[in-house]
Amino acid sequence: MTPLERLEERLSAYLDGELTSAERSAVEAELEASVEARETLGDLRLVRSALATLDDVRAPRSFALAVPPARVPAGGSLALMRRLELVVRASAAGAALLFVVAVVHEPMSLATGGVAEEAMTTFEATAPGPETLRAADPAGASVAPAFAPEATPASSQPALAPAPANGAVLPPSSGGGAGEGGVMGAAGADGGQGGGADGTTPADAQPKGDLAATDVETFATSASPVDDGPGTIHVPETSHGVGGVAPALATLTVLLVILSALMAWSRREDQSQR
Amino acid sequence: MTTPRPAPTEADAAIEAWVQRARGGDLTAFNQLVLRYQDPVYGLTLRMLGAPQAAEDATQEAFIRAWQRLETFRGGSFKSWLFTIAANQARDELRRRGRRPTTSLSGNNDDDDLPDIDPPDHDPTPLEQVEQAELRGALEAALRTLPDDWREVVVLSDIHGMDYREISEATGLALGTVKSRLSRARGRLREVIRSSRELHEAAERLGDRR
Repeated sequence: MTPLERLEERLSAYLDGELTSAERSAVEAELEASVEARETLGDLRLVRSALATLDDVRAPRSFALAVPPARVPAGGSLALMRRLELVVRASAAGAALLFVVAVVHEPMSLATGGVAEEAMTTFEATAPGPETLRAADPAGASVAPAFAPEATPASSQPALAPAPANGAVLPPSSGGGAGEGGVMGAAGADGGQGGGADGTTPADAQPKGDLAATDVETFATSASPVDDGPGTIHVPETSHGVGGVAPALATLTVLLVILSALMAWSRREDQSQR
Repeated sequence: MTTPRPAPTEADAAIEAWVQRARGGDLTAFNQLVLRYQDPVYGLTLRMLGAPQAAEDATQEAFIRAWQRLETFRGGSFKSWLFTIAANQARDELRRRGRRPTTSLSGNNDDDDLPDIDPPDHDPTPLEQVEQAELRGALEAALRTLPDDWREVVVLSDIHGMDYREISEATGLALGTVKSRLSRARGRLREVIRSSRELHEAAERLGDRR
């Protein structure tokens, strides 16, 4: 900002009566002392009064409404949509929890301590609402990169969908071993993606619809390994312990998350048109 | 307030009554509000968008939305509330266009792009009339060359008399941003006025010499 622009800003606000009394006194002193300040003020005053005369545009026609357009219900359809979206999110979180429970009942335990806690945080955080969802985001993000690399060396099937549940719930003492590392890697990655994407949806949705669309794509890609889950999960314990329930719940969770992202996206589109 | 805010009058009471009736579903009452505010709303969208057809569309859409959302009006200035809706409407349109509208219009010297302006109420001398007409033309042209964000703020403030707080509410901008954008816009317009004045002074000197 040039000195002239700063002067104009002070004088412009002075003209509008938008200065504090201290600022006003300072400007008045400046006006007494400086010719340039007085000239600038005179010009700005002229601009303002000249612009005020432009307030005489006539509408080219009547904009009176012939028929009453449908009213937005109290609170707005937007709010309704938002509530629905929350319900879907809550369902997704519920499905995720059920999934966790289902996998916990499986005899083979697969967790390690720190991971379990972090993953748990991620899952818990998905439940209550957008605020905490956002809060969950960093947790999810930190889990994902930290554990995804472990997954590959430890297990030949890194993207195992049902795994996060194990990691999330089992106490630290129940864990240990290579297979678990692999599964937990998947847990971390899955939790990271799911939690992260879920968490970012409200935030992303705010600036642009196409960001949310990217989210949807992310969900879609993360969904495919999960959907393939039942077929590709070769941790034997998982397959007979939980049967079809856990994969089904995982699929349900992913579908609900996708649905919620779609809703957020369409809401944004709708809002941007308002 | 850049222009003095009038004390509550009978007109304000009438507006309040129309708003109440319109809330209750009375379209005739709502249309009274439309007729009362369609000129400034159209003027605002025209200044923001620079094109009469787009301004018409935005104005119509703004009134439709106003009807639809009358429930959300929590009292205060109905005009400010309406302007907020209209400014949002125009801003969305600018966004849809990819933010490259009005500067190109200024190069396009099509008369359709110039707002339909009636002469001011007081009666200036013929010379003043010429000067004012020229100044107005210059200001209109200069307004169109301002960045959209600056123009919106200066139009709301200096043409439609909204104060910083009202503009902040209508645009979602921080007060400090309103203040700086307004000042930058005025600074730019000031240059126009200066050059216009210099032109006149030069013309007068030329006249004196003859």
